Amino acid sequence: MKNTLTVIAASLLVLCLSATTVLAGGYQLNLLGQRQIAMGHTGVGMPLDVATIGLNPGGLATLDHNALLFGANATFISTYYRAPAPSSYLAKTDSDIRTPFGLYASYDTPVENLRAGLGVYTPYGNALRWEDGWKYRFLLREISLTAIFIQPTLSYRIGDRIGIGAGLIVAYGAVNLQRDIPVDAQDGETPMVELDGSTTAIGFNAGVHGKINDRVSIGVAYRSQIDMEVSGGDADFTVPVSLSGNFPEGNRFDASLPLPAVLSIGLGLKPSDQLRVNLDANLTFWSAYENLVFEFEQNTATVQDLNEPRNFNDRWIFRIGGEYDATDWLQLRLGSYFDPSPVDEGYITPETPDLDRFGISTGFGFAFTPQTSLNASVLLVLSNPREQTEQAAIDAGTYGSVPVGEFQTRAWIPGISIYHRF
Amino acid sequence: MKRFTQLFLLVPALMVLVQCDPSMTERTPDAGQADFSSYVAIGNSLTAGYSDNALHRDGQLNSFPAIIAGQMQQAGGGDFFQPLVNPGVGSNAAGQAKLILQVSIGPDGTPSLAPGPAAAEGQDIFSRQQEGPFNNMGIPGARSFHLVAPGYGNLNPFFGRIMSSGEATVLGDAMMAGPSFFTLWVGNNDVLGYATNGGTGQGFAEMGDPAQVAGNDITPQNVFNGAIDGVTATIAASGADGVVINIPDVTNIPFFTTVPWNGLVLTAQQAQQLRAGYAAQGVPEPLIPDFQQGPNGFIIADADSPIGLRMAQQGELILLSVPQDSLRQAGWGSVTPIPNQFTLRGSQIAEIQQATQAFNAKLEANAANFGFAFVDVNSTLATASNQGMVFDGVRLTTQFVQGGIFSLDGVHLTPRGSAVVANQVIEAINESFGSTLSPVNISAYEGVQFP
Repeated sequence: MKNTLTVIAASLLVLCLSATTVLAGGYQLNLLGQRQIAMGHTGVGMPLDVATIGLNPGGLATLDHNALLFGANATFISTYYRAPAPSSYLAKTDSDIRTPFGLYASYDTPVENLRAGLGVYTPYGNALRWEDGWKYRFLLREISLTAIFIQPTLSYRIGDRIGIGAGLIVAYGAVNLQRDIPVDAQDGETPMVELDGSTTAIGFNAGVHGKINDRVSIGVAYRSQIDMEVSGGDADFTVPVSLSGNFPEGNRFDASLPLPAVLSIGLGLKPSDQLRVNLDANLTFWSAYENLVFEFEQNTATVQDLNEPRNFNDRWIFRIGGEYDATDWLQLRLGSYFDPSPVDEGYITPETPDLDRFGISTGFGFAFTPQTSLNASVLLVLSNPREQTEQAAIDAGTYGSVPVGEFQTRAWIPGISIYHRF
Repeated sequence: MKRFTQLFLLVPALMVLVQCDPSMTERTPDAGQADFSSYVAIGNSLTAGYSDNALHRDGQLNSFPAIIAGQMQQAGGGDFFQPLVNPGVGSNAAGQAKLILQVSIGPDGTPSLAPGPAAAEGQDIFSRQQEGPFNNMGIPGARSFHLVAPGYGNLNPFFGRIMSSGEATVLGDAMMAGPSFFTLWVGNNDVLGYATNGGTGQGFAEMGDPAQVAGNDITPQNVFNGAIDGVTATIAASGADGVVINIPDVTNIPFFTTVPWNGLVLTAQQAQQLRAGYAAQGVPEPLIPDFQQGPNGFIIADADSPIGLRMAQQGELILLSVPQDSLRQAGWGSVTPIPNQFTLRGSQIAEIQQATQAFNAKLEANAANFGFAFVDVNSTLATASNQGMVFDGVRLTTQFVQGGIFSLDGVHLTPRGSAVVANQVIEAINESFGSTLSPVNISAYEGVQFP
C-alpha cells in the first residue's frame, strides 16, 4: 500500500516536471462519469459502474449490478493569450460555463449473461468566447461545439471472467462559429459572420474486459470516428448595407468536422479489498482532423470558401487513478493524467488554442443507502504557457491565419452524480 | 487507514502546489535609456492626423503620434496635448469637409460607391485660436523649410490656429513644449506638391531659393538640407532623443496608383472609330495613337509630342484627382487628352523619385549624425504595395479604399495605417534606446468606413 502511494505521488511530481514542455487535447472532453473523473478518468480495465457503457462497453456484463446513473459537470475554463514581447497585450476568454453530462442505465435481458444498457454522454465539445475586440477577432470571436452521443449497448459475459460489448452511437452535433470581418462600418457596428449548423451521424463503441485473477483485470475499447457533416448551415453576415452585394443574405455553408476514434486500454489492480488502482491509456486518432473547411453555397469576391490546415496528430493520454474504501459508506478517490497536445506549433488556432494538459482529480462517493450514492469529483486542468512563433507559422504556411504569441489554459471542473443500483 | 486519509487531505494542497508555473501576466513596458516624459511630434499632415482630405477630430485622436504617446504612457510618458478641433466633419485649407464613402446612383441606375464630402461645407476649425504648447506639432501642408520659417502661421491657417505669435516658427513652438523625446516626419510635401499637381512645377534642383519655391515645385536640395540641418541640430542641442522618419515613394501611394494607366478598354469597333477620328482631324497616320481592342493606355497631354498628346505608357501614372465623369463621359483619355495636372509622365516620376531618394538620404544621414533612431516607412509601404502585409489576421495593402492603410484622399493614413506606422516607430525606438514599449493591435484600429 505504501508503495502504491509512493508511485502515485512520484508520478504526480514527474508529470508536473514534464509539463514544463509544450503540451493538449483538441476538443475532446473526457468527462464520462464522476467516479472515473475523480480517478483520473480511468476505468477501461476495471468497470466501476454503469458509466462503463461509455468507457468500455465490454465491462457492462461483468458488473455485479444494474443501475441508473446521472451526472453532470460544470466547466470553468480560462484561456489566456499573450502577444509576443514586448507587447503588453493580454487577452482572455470570457468563461462561459458549460455542463457536459452523462446518463447511463442498464438492465438484464431475458437472455442469460446478456445485459443491455443505454448511455447518453458528451465526449466532445468546445466553447470559447474571446473578449470583445481582441487582437485576433478576425480569426475568431467565439466558437461553440456540442456533441451528444446516444448509445444503446449490449454486453455479454463469457464465463466468469470475460465480458464483451458493443453499442451503436447516434451522434447529434452542433457548431456555431463567429468571426469579425475586416471591414469597418460608418454606423459603428462591427461587421461579422456567424456560421451555425447541426447534424447527426452514427458510429459505434465496442470493448472487451477480462479478469486475469481476483486482483488484476484488463480492458480494451474502441470508439469509432464520427464525421459530423453539416450541410446547409446558416451563414449570416452582418455587414454595412453598401457591401451587402458582396455578402449575400441567406447564404448557407457545408462543413465537416471529425470526432476522432479513440482506442483505450486499461489495467485494473486491487492491491487489497479496500483499494483499487487503475492505469489507463487512450489513443485518440486526431490525425483525422486535417483541414477545417467551410464551403459556401454562394461565393463572391469577398465570400470565399474557407480551407485552413489543422494537421492534428494522433496522441496518447496516460492516466492513473485510485479509490479507497474509507468506510462502508465513503470512498475516497484520486487521479491524474497527462494529455499531450495533438497540435503542432504553427497550427495553433484561437478555436483550439491547444497545449499539453496535466490533470489532477479527486472526489468521493457517499452511500446514503446500500442502493443510492452520491458521487462528487473535482478536476483541475493545468498547462504551461505554449508559444507559437511567427517563424513556426511561416514554416507551417499558416502565417496570417493563426495567432502568434503564447497561450495558457486553466480549468476547474467540478461534477456530481447520483447513482442508484437495482 | 490513517495514512490514506492523510493522502486524500493532501490533495487540495497538492492542487495548489502543482501550479508549476506562474500564470501569464501582462508585461510592463520600460523606457530604457529614453525619457518619454515630454514627447513632441514635429511634421506635417501625417503627424497631425489629417485624413480623408481634412483635419478632423477622429483623425487627430488616431494620429500616429497620439498612438505612440498612448504606449509611452505605459512607460513613464507624460500627457500628450494635441490641438484638437471640435467633433465634426473637419476642414481642409479650402474649407471643405472630410470625405466619406457614399453610395451614388449612376446615370444608368447602377449604384456605385465613391468618396464624397461629408457635408456641403467644412467645419470652422480656424477661427478659434488654440493656446499651446502642444505635443503634436504636425502642420498640414508644411514642407521642410516651413518648419523654420518665421511667420509661417500667416500663410498656413493650420499653423495660424495654434501659433504662439505672429512671428513664431513651427520648430520654435515645438521646442516650447520642452521635448524630452521627439518624432520628425517631414519632407513629404517637399515632393508631393509637385507630384499631386501632375509635375506642372519645377522638378528636382540642386540649388534654389526658398522664397521662390511654388506650391507645385519640388523643394531644391540645398533648401531641404538647410532646413533639416536646422531642425535636427536644434532638437539635438536641447538634449532630446528621438526618431526621424523617411518619406514614401509616390508610386506606392493610392492617389497615384488607383487609376490604371491603361484603363481605356475598347472594343475593336471603338478602337477603329478612335483611329478614324484622329485621322479626320488631320493627324498624320504614323502619329495616330495605336488603339487596339482591349486595354489601351489613356491619351494624355504631352507637349513633347508633335501633336501635343500621346498614349500613356506602362509605369506612367494617372492621378486620383482626375475627374471621373470626364473620363467616363467627356471622352477624356481617348478623344481628348487628360491634362497635364492629372498625369505623371515617366520623366516627371524620375524627378520625384530622384528627389525622394536624395531627401531620404539626407534624413537618414542626419539621424545617424545626431544619434536619432531612423524609420524607413518608405520600405514598409513598398512591401505593403508589392505583396501586402498581414497583422492580427488582417491583410493590408496600399490599395485605395479596400487596402486599409490609406484614407479616402489616397495620400493620408487611416487610423489602421497610423497604427502600422506607430508600431514601426515603436520598434525603432525599442531597438535604439533599449526600451520595451508595447506595440498596439492593428486590429483595434479602423480602416475606411463603409456606409
